Amino acid sequence: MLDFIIILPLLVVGAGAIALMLLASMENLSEGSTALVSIGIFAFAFAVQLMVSVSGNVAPYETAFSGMLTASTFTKVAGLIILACGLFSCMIAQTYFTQNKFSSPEFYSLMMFAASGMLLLTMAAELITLFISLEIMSLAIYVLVGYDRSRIKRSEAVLKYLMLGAFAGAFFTMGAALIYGGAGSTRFALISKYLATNSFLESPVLVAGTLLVIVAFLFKVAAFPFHAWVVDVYDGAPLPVTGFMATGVKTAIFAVFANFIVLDNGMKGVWVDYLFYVAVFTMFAGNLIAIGQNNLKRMLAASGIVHSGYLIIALVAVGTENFTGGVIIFYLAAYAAATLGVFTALAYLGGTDERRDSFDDFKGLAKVRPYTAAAITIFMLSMAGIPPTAGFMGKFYIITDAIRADQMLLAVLGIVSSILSMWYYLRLVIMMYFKEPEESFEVSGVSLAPVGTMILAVSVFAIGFYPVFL
Amino acid sequence: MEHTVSYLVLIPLLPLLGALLMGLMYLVSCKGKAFPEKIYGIIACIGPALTFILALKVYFGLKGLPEDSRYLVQDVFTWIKVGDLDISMGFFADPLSSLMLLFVTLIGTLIHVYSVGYMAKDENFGKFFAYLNLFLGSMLILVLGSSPVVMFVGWEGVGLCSYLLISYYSTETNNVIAGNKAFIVNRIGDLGFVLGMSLLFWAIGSGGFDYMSLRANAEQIGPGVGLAICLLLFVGATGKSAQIPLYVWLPDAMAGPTPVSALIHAATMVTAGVYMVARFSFIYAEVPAAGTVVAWIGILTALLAAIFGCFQRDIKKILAYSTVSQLGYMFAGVGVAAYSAGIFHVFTHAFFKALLFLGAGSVIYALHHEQDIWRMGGLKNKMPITYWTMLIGCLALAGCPPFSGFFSKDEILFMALASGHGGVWLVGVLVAAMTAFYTFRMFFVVFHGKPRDEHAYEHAHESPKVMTVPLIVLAVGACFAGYLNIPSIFGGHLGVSHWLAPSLTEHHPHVSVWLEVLAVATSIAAFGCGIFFAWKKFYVATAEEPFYTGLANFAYNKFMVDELYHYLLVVPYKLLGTAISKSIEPFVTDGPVKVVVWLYGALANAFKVVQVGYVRVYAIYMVIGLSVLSIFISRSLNL
Repeated sequence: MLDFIIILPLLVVGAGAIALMLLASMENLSEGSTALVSIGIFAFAFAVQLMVSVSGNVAPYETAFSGMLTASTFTKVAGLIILACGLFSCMIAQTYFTQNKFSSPEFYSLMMFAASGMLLLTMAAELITLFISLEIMSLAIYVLVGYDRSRIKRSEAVLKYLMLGAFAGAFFTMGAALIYGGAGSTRFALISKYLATNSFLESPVLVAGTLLVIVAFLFKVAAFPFHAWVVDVYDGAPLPVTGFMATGVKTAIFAVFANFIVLDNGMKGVWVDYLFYVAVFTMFAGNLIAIGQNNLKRMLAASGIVHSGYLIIALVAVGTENFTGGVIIFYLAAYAAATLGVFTALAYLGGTDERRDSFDDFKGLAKVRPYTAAAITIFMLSMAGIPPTAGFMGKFYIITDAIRADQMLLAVLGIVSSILSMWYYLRLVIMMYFKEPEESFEVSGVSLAPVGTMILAVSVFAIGFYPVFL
Repeated sequence: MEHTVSYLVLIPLLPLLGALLMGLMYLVSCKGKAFPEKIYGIIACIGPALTFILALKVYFGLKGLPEDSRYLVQDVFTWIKVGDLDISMGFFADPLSSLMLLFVTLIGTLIHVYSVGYMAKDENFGKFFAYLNLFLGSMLILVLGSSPVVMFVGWEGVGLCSYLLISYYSTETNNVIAGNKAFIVNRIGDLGFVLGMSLLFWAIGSGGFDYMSLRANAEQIGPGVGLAICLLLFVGATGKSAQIPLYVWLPDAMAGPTPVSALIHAATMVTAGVYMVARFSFIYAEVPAAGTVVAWIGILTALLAAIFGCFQRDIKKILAYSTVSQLGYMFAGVGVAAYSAGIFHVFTHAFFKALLFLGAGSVIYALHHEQDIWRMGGLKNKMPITYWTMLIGCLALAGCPPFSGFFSKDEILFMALASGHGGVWLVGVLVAAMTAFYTFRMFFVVFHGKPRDEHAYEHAHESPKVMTVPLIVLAVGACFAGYLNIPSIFGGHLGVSHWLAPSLTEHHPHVSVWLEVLAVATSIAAFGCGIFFAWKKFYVATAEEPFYTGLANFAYNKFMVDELYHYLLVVPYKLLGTAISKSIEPFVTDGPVKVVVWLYGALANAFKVVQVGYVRVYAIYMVIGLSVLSIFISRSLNL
């Protein structure tokens, strides 16, 4: 019974997805009502997840379905973030599709399938389950990226993502097979047990297997040098999908990545040395790419690389004993709130075919839409890590964690990278506040996205005041 | 725990919520139709009134506790926790803060009520009351904070509100400059406070940084460090409480609306410095040398301000200098280790100074914003309530027995004499005479004699009830507040001093009755002399503005202190700034920074080339990455 309670939110979203797919066959289903229904399903699932999270005084780690799934506060909060991302992405989609006409009910259904994949991913404690949930998520996302078939840019994006994703998927399967060969099991608990009695570095098969699995994770979170796809794909994907990918996928992958890396102290100790370099290169490569961008979506994609770098710092610093993941989840929440905030704003500022996309298009926005400009400024400040926003607290926790884990150099480089990132975050603020508008176009239509923007702007502060549950 | 209560946080919170609410209301309505003044007025007054009730509750709560453990605490949340520094956002009430609380909330409430009348038809009515409530909330945080750090929050808050309210009429440049001046001068003082606080933390902070722990550990402070702490904290006090050398902001602060002058620059904010010294009496008591410095600075400030006060012509500036002068007395009191006497003067002064300012405001209001006393005159019959209440205020300020100012001032002077600070006492007596002189100079010129400006006189009228009722209440306070602390020579038993005793570290010296009689007699004589000269010179109907020459003119121009500061500090500072911005800035610092920025930009553009957009290239990156990782990890294999 407990097993089903743990996956209850997953069941809600999955059932919603299937129901919506069936409803799509009805001809008189309007676009607006589909959006509302899917927002409602996400909200309901969020509420269910919240109740699952707060109810029951369970052990920090509990397993379900004979060790296939695991549930902890970490995975539950990750689930909350994912469902919130889904909710706000649906708001973005609702507004986006008032301007861009290529929507159909299946779009929302696929979003929910992707979300259920993500939820399963956060809880996966077994390599085959992990693979299946990874594919549920990825396949839905592939379709969503290329949803607008009329535009060549989208098709290009989906092709790139699909090919490289398949590449990474192959790495993962190979890795899983090698781990099974080495440890004799695909279940995390048994792998951990095996490693407790056998030295990690004395088993080449296991080393190669974990290497391939970790590479697959690094690909999905766009860490250097597996990051190259992210800018093109984020740019090519429709706005709601980009927002969902940037936040939901990242949350899910980092959740499972953390669950995997803390399996064994010896194994983590080996990987920390390499993740150190990955984190540093990821941050600085991301910064360099972001500085060079003139398109806002591409800049956000590149900045997503930098944020992945910070999260890898957090991974490096986690302790395998009594792992809680509080720092990681806090940063993910802060990042998701700020990123989705910008995307909700873009949804109603963008216009048809995402016309407002470059930095120059934001000139003088503060005069035309002062509240939106203020909200975007808040999101930018949070991403840049300026107090008292959530982004600052997230970075603060990560840096202090790194110092506590004796990774002083990493902490310093993280701060340097944070300073560099102000270049492109503040550039947008400067455009909005200190430049005169060149051409302004008004976007009309009733939409939910402004509501989302305001909620997220408030939550950027609210999350910042909420202490991390270490 | 009988000492832990849950209502202390409400005291600062209620006015702060009012400020937030009114600020939001003002914000949403500032472009369109404003909310009616009535709504703002009710919201503005309700918070302070409730805090007064809570202050009474605190008082009776403390009274119900045994004398040696009279305190109430409430920790709301952990605010800062870094290393040894563990600060909770906590509140702490003991007899000292309860006394402060009572008069701050009472006078604050009365001034809020008065302001509803005074500020009527002001276009930024809502903003004014938002600021005023914010000020009261900050002041209450200052008084109730459980540690120096929380006190500092309120300390900064009142500084900020002072700035906002001084430059409230921001359409005139001079007001804005006055606001800036107050803020900058206060910041200099704040630096001293922060340094003193840091030093205190460095010395004994590891044992807890709330007042009770500090007090318990105070003996561990070495004499040298103790002196440094005391003097640095006192620098903070000179800023906030307008003492030499940082007093210059207070007279200029009269640019704000008159209720602001009454609330901030007379009754509450400026007393923060005195309160702070009394709060830290456990350190000051350890270092008598620091006390001597405080006492001398205080009494010299009193003298200087009294001299200036004799020559001013702006009614509010006269009162401003009298405030500086009275603050000097208070510091003389706490300086000679008579903390309860100093605080008692704070208490009585709050009543009569608020009364005087509000009375002056009533006059100014009646004469349509005329502040020059040499254009007033003969207002006695036109404004009877204002006249009689002002008379009470002036008598109290001048130290006429049996009004409140007499008891508190006399207590300070007596304690100075009793503790062996004869010099301080002598100057104090001189200042007392001068106080009586300049107070009644103002009083006679404004209310007696013939009208000097016929037109303004014709239109003068008594102020509305919403303004006169607070005047009457304050006048009652100014009459009788002194009876709370009657010394034994008059058959009293020093009620306030006994009430405050558990909060303070002070010793009452035992001296002969004759010394006390001498002190009282001198004080009364000084008052008599002062008022006699004022009567002789200004009570005549035809008294005209004297023409100042020589030394008097020098005093009228405030000894050119402002100009001195300007040429000695401001001008060189500006020159230095200009020199740096013209030489070092563009060549030494800006150059390398710009080069780095350019280099990084170029690097970013170069890196863009890597993002070619071909999926095969991206795949190659992945393969290379995987290969490099494989090579490195295979070398660390342990076979």
